[in-house]
Amino acid sequence: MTLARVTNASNYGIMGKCFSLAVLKNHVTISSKFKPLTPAQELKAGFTRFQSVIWALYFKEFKIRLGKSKTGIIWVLLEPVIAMVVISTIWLIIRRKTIENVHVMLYIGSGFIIYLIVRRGITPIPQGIKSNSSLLNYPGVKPIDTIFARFILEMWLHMIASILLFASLFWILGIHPTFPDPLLCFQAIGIAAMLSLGIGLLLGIYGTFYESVGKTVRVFTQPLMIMSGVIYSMNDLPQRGREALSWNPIVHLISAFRQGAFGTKPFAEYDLLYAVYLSIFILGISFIAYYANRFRLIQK
Amino acid sequence: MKKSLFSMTKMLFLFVFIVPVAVVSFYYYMFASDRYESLASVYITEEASQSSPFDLTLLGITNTGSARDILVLKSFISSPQMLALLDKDLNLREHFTNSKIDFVSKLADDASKEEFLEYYLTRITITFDDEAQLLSLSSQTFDREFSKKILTSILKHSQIFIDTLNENISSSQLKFFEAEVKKSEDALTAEKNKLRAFQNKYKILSTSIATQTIVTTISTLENQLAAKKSELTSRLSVLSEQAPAIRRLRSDIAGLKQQLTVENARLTSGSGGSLSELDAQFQDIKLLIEYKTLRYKANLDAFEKAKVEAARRLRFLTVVAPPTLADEALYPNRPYIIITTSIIALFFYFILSIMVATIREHA
Repeated sequence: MTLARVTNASNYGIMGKCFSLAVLKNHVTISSKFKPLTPAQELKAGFTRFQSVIWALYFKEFKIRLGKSKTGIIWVLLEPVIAMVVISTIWLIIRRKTIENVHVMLYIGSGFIIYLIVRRGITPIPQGIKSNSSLLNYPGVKPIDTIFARFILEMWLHMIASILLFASLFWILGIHPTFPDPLLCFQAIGIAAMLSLGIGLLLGIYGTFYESVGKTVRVFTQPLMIMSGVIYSMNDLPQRGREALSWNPIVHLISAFRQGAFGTKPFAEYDLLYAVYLSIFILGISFIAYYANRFRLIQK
Repeated sequence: MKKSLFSMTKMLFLFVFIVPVAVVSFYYYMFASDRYESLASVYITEEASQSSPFDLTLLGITNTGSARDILVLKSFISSPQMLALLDKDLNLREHFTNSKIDFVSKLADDASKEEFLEYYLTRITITFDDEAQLLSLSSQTFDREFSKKILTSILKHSQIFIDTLNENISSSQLKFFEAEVKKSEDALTAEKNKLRAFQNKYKILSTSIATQTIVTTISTLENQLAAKKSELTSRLSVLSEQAPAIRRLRSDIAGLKQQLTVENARLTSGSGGSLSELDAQFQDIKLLIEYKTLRYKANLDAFEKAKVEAARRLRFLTVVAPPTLADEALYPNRPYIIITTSIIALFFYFILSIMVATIREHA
């Protein structure tokens, strides 16, 4: 740990301050390495460092997002609203004002809220490792920290975007979800976030190793929106279609969210537990993949 | 330090993997009561075929009539009413709160009606097969006979439910037409009674026949009169006025003439009792009868049509597969549950241990 690097880092404003703090702490531990730490102490010290690195990275990411272009952040915040308006307009053109007795805008919007959580695990989150690759030279920064930082940032932005969506609907059209089961909505959001983190980490790891992985996944997930029941009701599909689509966990999550938000009836093959299991499974796999490749990732 | 690190991972493994899997296995192999499953499937047939030319299901324009009926039946089976009926028939609550059943899968002794319904719905599965329009029912209880009994009872009550639906439809539709037919029939009978009274009063079967008779009589009288007159003319050329033959002829002619006026008067006269007037009344009555007969016929026709229509809209509950009797307890599916638990616990362990390791690496 050279001091030059630390001073270099402090040139980057907030990010630099937090970051240098994290690195300095690291410096202190290295110097006191003569005395072995107990596992509990190690865990505590590690957690503090882990936390500060993540927050440092988080602020860096946020600054970059803000600084790069103002339109970028506006686009992120308005993405669900714009997607909802476009798709709902198609429904309104063919004179469908409600789906399952819920206003088309609300129905489609709620679908996008869940869908975009998972979608963010495919596009912006995995690229975190690569865009922060220069910072991986610091021993205090692990590749997983970049993913966590980006994940937190994306979820936070998405939360604001979702609130914006509901608020604008309430403000302009005077419609709002009734939320008969808000806990179910939070469950759906939580599971979707877990799924997003798992996918993000997994794609982040292999996307860094192989250039083509990220591209291939992005191409193959183009029709994901149509196959996730975002823009229509699963209940309107014939049984064979429903059975095929129920392999997609997003379908279950969206159905659960709509059930919690509007009290609509979930489709016949609905099983939220499947989405939970799959999310745990993917997250577990991604953690194993990370643990196995963590040194190679830094070398890259 | 090395040792303690090792032991920490081991502890995690113990508490996140071994303990939960052991608890689950222990419970399922030692305590969990066997559940026997009974299966049945039904479908609802409707006489009228309703086929739409386009399949617009993707646009949300869905469901033919019988699919709706079968979904109605599905919600009836999962309703509190069905539960009440089953409880009355089979004493369901007693079966599910039996103390022989293990404490996790049994219904609490003091369960409320809502809890009971929720419990009942976990023991009954109703799945609707879109393509075959089939309703598959399954029940799981702690006794093989009882599982079958529940399904049999459900099917019985479903049959009654469908029958009531049918009755409601046909009775509401047919009642109207039945009343119409009765009304027109009564009107027709009243008109016919009027005709009978008329015939009795005037001692006439039909005015046209009576007229015929009178006209024949008049023509006969006219003939005779003409014959007598010509005879009188021919006799007068030979005999004197005072001859007895002439006198007789003259009195005959006078008699015939008088009879003719009488007969003519019977046919037409202004005094009311004449045949022409009766005929007018008679024709009126006949016209009304004809009109009411036509109305009666039309109503009867509509009634028959409605009857056919109602019969066509009748639904029949057809049992495709009668409730089966389980041979062995398939539930709880112990290996399946334990393998699933192990996988989930293992992945949970991976996540936690790697998380811990990652955190420690930061130190």
